[in-house]
Amino acid sequence: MTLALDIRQLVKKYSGFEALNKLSFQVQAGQCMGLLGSNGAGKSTTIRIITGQLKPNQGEALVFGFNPSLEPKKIHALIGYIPDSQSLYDELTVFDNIDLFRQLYGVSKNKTYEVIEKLNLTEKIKEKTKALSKGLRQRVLIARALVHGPQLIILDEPTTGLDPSSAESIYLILEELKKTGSTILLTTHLMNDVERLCDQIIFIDKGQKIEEGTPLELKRKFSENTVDVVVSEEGQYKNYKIKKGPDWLEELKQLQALGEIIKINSHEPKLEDIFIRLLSEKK
Amino acid sequence: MISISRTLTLFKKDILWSMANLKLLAVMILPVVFLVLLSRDEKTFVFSIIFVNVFIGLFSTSYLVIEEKNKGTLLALMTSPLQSIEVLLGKFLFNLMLCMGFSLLGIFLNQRFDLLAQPLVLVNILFFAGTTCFIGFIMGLFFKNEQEMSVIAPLLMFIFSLGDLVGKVSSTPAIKGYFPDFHLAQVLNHLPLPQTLWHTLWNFSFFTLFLLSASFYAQFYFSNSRERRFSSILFFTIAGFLVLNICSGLFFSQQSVEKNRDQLIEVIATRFRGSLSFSSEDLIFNKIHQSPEVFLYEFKSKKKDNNRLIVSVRNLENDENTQELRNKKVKTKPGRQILSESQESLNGISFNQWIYIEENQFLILKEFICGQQIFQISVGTDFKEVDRLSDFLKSTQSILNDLKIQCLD
Repeated sequence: MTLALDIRQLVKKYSGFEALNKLSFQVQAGQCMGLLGSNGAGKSTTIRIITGQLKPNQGEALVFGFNPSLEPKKIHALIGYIPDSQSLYDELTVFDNIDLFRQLYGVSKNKTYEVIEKLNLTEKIKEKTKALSKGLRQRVLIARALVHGPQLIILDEPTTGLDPSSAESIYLILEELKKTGSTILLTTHLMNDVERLCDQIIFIDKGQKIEEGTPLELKRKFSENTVDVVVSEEGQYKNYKIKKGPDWLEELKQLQALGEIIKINSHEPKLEDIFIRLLSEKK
Repeated sequence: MISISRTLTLFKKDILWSMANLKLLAVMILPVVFLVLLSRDEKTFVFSIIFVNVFIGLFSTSYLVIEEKNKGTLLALMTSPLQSIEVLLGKFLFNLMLCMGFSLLGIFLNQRFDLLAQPLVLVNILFFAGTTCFIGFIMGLFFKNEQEMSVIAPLLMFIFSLGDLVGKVSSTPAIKGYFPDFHLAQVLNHLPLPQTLWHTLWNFSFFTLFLLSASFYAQFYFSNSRERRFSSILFFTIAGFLVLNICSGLFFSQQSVEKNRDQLIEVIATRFRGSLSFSSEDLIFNKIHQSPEVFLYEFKSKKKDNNRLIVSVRNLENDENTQELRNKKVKTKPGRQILSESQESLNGISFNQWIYIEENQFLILKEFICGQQIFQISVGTDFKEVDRLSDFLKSTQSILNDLKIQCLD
């Protein structure tokens, strides 16, 4: 399998502050990778290095074998970057905003219409982007980043500030892209949303990787291995915790003897819970 | 490799964007008001042309860049195949187009130049406008926002646009040589000048300095190691700019000394729609006088005859009535005794000539009509120096013989 992204021991310092501290990870072509962390964890710095906007103090990032610090323009042809700010020419139409980048990349005009159709923007094609909702503007940004058919799509906080339905529509688009085999790298601090999309997840904090794995692996690893049981005893609800194990059904039967079992809840940690737990363990 | 197609794409985008962005449009259109108000007046014409170029070059260019930075679109451009030099050229072409368009409008309103006959006017405006656009681009990249920019920009605007006006009101006119607009002002005020090529060279030097600085700074800004906003490039630009300005000022002062040595004396009257020049090693510049009614140069002869040459342009309407009134006024002025009156021609331009005595002086007055204005040259000598008219005429011959007049209207 081709390696789309190879991050090796990245270190980035800003006047005394260490934004990245020997960060390493890899993304295979066709994979969707989620880079998760709280604000200031180093997600955007990593993306800025990958997109060739910043030079690391140590280590290197390779995008399809090219080093963005040395050959940023080669990288720009391969990637579609959607920044965290909704950086559009507000006074220009949806079409003009997308077509400008189509011309800069030197691809055929059909591509503009293709991405507009792909992102369901056909009805808005002549509208100025300042008149659009945040969700629609985000779709224009994605269309703009896809117009040249990039091999790697990088999204920096794509759903921050969006209402749930707009965020959902963005994830649906990303799922579609994933199905077509695009490699996706996305950063977010809204961790639960990426669970269904990402094949691989990396948690970072203070510029360091603190955990890595598939969502399932992480959940298994951090599951509490207990079951919550709510029992109604003489009209009062009582909570019991029983350990998952060979004799947990026996324990359940004993609880049944006490009263009626109202609810059995098996603990499956959310990504956010895992992250918080990782942070507290680190401290 | 610079791609012309990408540069033009950016240029077209800026046109579209500015047309739709009212804030941008206002910044660009505002100077037209000044231009329409000031360019028709002979005294403020040069200032109006310089001002419009400085305003658009500095404000419009930097505002365009800062607006892109604030909206984040510059970042999007940076992560596209666009090269830094293409961004620079795209912005430069757009603002240069505005500068040249407005300058042409000013020239059209004033009708001072025949641009086909004097293409160097446009060349000099282009170099000057280009210089201001490059500075505006550097400012746009350097400053974080409009507020930061507005601290420095007015100061730069003053330095770049007020040289001509300062030179006109200052008791040491040579001071204007230290202002960057000096060379353009000289060309616009005094064309054709033998030094026009020299001034063009100076304008070209500023243009080149800032072209190189802007392209290096853009490269630095768009590169991935730009944490330090203040780079050595800016330091060298400012240093180079100061050195060029000081050299220009010193050179101009030197030129004034040269003039006083009378290697070549030249008079160009700005209100005259054309030029008048003469060379004589016998004359030394004495003083200049300006008022709303008259613009006057006075020269003194170095010889014993102590001739005084006065070249003046009077702000008079030229129609038949005023000509008659002028004739009458010249002839009937109290204390004046007319010795001769004639109509003659010089270089195809007809003129009235009076020779008369007034306040113990022999005087020759030549009055040229050029377009809507009346242009006078008078040469006078005290009786103490010459006591016969023939001697006076002989002594003035050397001055008047090599008089060259060009009337553009």
